[in-house]
Amino acid sequence: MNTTFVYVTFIRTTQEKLWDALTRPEFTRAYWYGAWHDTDWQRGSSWKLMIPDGRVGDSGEILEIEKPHRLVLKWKNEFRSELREEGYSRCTLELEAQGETVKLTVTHSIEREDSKFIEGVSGGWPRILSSLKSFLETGKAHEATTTWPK
Amino acid sequence: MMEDRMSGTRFVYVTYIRTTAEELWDALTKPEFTRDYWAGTTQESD
Repeated sequence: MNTTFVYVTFIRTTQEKLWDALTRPEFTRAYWYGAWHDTDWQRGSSWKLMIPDGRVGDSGEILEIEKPHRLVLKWKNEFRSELREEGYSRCTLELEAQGETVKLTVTHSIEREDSKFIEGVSGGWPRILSSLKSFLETGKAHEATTTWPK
Repeated sequence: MMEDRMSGTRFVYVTYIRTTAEELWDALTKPEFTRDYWAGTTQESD
């Protein structure tokens, strides 16, 4: 059995701009609670989501990367012990151009039932991705997602 | 939660919009707004 979270949003932008906004530190810091990816974005490379205070928020590996269409990450929480002990999840981001928008699908799953980790990301992804949409469409992220929550 | 899970099929979507509750309510209910983004449709109800 597994637990899966799926989120779909349509953003008025291009695949390239959305890809950059999802991967480059200068953009993610704006809407992802100040966090940024520490990786060289090569298949098989290590991946870390860094918290602004220097802690490692999450860690894993680049499983697949096909810019600007598809990114698959092996993903484990690092900053909450009860989530970390659930082990690795898999997160797939898919970008598909549709007219004046890009359809972004985030699928995050783990091989266990009733996952606390997936419950956690189910609360986080809608906040982050809504703010990302505002950031790309209006130039301004949501105030609540600009700094790491206390 | 268990009751929810056994009650058939459902879809849940969450989004955060930079607006006020009143403005969002009007955008979800008033024909002059829904026509803009809901494939041109309007809702009929009092």
